[in-house]
Amino acid sequence: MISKIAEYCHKWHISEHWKRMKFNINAMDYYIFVPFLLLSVIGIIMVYSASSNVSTQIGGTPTGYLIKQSMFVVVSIVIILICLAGNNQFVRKAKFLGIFFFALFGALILLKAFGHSVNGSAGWIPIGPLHVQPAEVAKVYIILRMSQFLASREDRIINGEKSRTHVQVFSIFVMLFLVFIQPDLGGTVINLAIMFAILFGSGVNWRGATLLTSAGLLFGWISLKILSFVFKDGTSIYQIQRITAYSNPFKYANGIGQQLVNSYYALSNGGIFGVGLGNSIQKTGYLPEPNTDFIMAIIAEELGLIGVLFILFLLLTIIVRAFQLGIRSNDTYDTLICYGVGTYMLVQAYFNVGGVIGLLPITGVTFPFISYGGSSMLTLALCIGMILVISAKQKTQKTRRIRY
Amino acid sequence: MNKLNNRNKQKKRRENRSRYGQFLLLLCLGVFLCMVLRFTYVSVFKNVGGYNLSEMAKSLYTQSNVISAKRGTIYDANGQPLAEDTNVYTMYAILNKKQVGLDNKPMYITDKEKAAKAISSVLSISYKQALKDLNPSTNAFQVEFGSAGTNISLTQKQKLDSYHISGLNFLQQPSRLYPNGVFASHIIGYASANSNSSDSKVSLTGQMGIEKVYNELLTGKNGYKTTQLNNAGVEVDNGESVNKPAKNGDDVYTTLDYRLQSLLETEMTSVYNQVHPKTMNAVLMNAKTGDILAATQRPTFNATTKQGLSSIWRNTLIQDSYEPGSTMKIFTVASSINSGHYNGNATYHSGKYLVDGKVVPDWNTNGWGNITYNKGFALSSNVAMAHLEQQMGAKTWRNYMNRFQFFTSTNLGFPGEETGSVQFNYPIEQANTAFGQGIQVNAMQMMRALTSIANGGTMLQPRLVTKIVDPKTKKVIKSYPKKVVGHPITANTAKQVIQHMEDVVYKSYGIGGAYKIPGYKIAAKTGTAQVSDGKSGYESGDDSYLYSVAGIAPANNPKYILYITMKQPHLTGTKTASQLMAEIFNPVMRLALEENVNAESENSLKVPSITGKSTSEAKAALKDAGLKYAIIGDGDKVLDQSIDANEKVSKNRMVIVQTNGSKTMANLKGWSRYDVATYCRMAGIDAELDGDGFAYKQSVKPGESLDGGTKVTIKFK
Repeated sequence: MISKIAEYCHKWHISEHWKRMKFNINAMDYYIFVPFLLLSVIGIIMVYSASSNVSTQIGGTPTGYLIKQSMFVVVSIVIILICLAGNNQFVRKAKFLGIFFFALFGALILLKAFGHSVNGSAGWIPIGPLHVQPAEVAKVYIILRMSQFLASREDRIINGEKSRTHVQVFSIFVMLFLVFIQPDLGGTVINLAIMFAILFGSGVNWRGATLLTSAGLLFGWISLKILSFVFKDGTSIYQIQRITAYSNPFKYANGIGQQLVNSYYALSNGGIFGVGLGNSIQKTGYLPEPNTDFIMAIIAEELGLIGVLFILFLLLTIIVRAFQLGIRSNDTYDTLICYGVGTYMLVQAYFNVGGVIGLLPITGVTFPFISYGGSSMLTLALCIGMILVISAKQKTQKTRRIRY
Repeated sequence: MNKLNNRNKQKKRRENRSRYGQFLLLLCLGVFLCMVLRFTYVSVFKNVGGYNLSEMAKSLYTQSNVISAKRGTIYDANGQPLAEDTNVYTMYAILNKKQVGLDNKPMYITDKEKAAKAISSVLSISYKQALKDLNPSTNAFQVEFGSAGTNISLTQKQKLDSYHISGLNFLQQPSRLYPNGVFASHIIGYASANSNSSDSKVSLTGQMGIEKVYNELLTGKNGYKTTQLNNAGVEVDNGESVNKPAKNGDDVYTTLDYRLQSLLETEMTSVYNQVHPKTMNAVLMNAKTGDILAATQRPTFNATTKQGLSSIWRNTLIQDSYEPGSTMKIFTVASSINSGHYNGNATYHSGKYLVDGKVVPDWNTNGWGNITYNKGFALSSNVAMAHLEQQMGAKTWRNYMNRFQFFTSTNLGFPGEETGSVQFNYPIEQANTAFGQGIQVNAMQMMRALTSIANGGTMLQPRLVTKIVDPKTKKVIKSYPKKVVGHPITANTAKQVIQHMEDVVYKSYGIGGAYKIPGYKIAAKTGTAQVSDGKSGYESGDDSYLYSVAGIAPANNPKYILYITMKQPHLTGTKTASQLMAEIFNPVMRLALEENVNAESENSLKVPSITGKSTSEAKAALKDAGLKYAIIGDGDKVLDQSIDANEKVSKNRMVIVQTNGSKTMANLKGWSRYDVATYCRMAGIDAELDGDGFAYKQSVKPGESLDGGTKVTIKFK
């Protein structure tokens, strides 16, 4: 085992990178790293608070989720450190992206063929203690693949040569189709959003891109309103039931609207200052999934509006910083990575919170860094690692520029 | 030029990227603003779309604080519960192998053979069937076990739990438990869960029998507790809290005797399964008090599983009127004696007798020549009765029918009583009533009339409920004392009638010889009535009779009356109707008489409390107490005992002890029918009991393993 690790270290030139580590840590972007740490710690505490009741109900120990989430955070920090040591070079390699693609594709097919559904939504593949969610991993893949592809083909695009972008986009569509039929509508939409943000951010006419993005958002909003109106009396289709539940939760308070209504109750209980850590009533069985999809409702109940605003502020800091790094960067790849990561966290947070506060139908999406879940935590860690590297790079370039 | 162009393009693209990034940043701020505003709005105003969230949440938490009143328990005469509130369980087994707990502990069935073995040893399902259920043809997530897997009792669940089978789960639901299954079912009735539309609370409502008649008292009143939860979900006492405790339902104490009723049910089932009569009734009464000690009917149903409920809803003891046939002769003779017209030693010509040109036949139409009236009664001669009726006159006879209170309600409290009628216009009709044709009565009316014979002329009100008690204060809310309802005949007449009934059993020519019980004097009268076809005539054919027997014992000082009717059995020729009824009459009457003897002698032995103790401790405790016992199962923990702790019993009673672990057949040789029936019920096996007395032969050898599908035949002599 140890010899194997040593072998890998050798392969990845890790020993060389350690030398550069010191330098990179000096250039650590605390606008990203500190909010990340704070969110992770709040996440651990709130997962524990929200889950202690649930985990005993399903036959585990009250600290079951606490221990696992803590482990995920530790592994996340290790991933971030490895990223900092790696300078984002490894994840650009064609061979890596190729293997990544086939592994992900295979996993999605495997899941469709043999996977079992959890809560009517997409499932996961158990690997050791981790339940790998391919839909979650796909987000990173899309960021990496699209950024790498568009950055490396930029010259061809400028020269008017064939860039074969449509082939790349098509392959991602095929993959997202597999996510969609899991079925995981939320995951599909988030993946699509990431892909389009990178495509539109790659250098095409910004007016057109902005217009298209706005049109897309408007279209989504109008479709949602139309669907809510058409199916206001309910339907048997599971996905559309969620829209009905979103548009009129109180009418179906004992059925499909139960989650949203109980989420509202949690917010109402919490008020501005919250009922205090550990004192949620809603987590005791009224609100399902208190440690994943509805953790923000439980936080609103226990820590109040104040707690929620603090968490949103921390996340906003990271996202704004990601976009800012992207805007500032001269490197196409770095810019696209930053846009991808920023969009990822933005859409993910909006879908989760939107479901909790009734702005969107409930899609079973987790809140970044806070919700329980290994796949999401580790995926996000990789994203944080990458933008930290980009930030460090910009800092050193800046110092060099000043020095010369 | 080209290069410059490219650089410009590159610059342009960079600008595009930055601009789009700025747009994304703006979008991001907008989205966060949206979330913040909405969060703030809901958290601060606690109102969405006109719905007051804090009010609704409060009512959500308050609503779950309704305190359900416990429905009262129905007890037998000795305090044994016959109907009580409980939770029942429905079992299902998870088969999906992906169902694992947090610590990767399997939460599905890992060993199907082991599971099937455990299930079949506890529930009434065979190992084969259980294994089949666990291996469904389709790829099922979970499976259930049909009716065997529903209405599982707590004891059964605990037994299954003791096997520690992963993946075997139970759903709990409130229910009314009738611990003895088929047990005076139409009399006790049943209560079923009805959900109240106003508060969607499930409550039990009596639908039949005592459960229905005493529903209001049994139900009690729900309490409620509106605790004001503070924001932290902790109760606060700000004066607004209202705490109104539930008033649990009152307990009903019946006159039924658990042991006698159990045995009666077993024997009735056995006969019913042999000849499948249309209906059967049986009532055992304490002659001195009018208490109904055991009463049942066939067909009947299992009050817990509701199995059989659809086949008959009527309580045939009072809701069926029928022509009683020759058991009516008891009252003809009693009337004749009491009115001073009886001369037992006078003779008449038996066989046939013409009344207004219409024939009154004896069952043996050749007759027995000229015989005395005394002998005529013992031979159940219709001609004798026709003469007696004519001697005392129709008016007197009709008057006595009223004195015996036929055609009036027995006032048991059950609705829908069929009080009967009589055709009494012409002399032939009047003569027919003397031997029980052309007169419709119900079984409980017969019992009431019989009390006057057994009780020295004093007629008693049949009694089923003795008292209603508040379970908390133990205060008696209502009591129903013994009630004398008439004196149709004198004590002397009663004595003479009993002597005539003894002749039916003991005289060589008497036709009730089958009802002899060694060691006791029995007085009885049998009956065979033609069953009216509901129009003008009678049904014909071998199976068109209603057979009955009314017995009183001990004849010298009557304590018990047992009356059995069996309508239209399909007699196979191997046993006569009398023999079949004796299979019920003799063991039940014998047990009653033995109990009586035991009650008069000292019940010196006290049954220890052994449920929940280890098997070895239990054995030692029973040995110390000097009690006979038998153990079901090879487990190390006692789950149940057949006689309640602290009950005082005689030394010939056997305590049957149920343990966990796998069961094997016991050696039943020498056991009484009651003990065998109890053993089979507790072991959960189907038993057919044959003969009367003590067991001498069993179809399943001692030591053979038992499961829910085992059937055993036990012979007695």
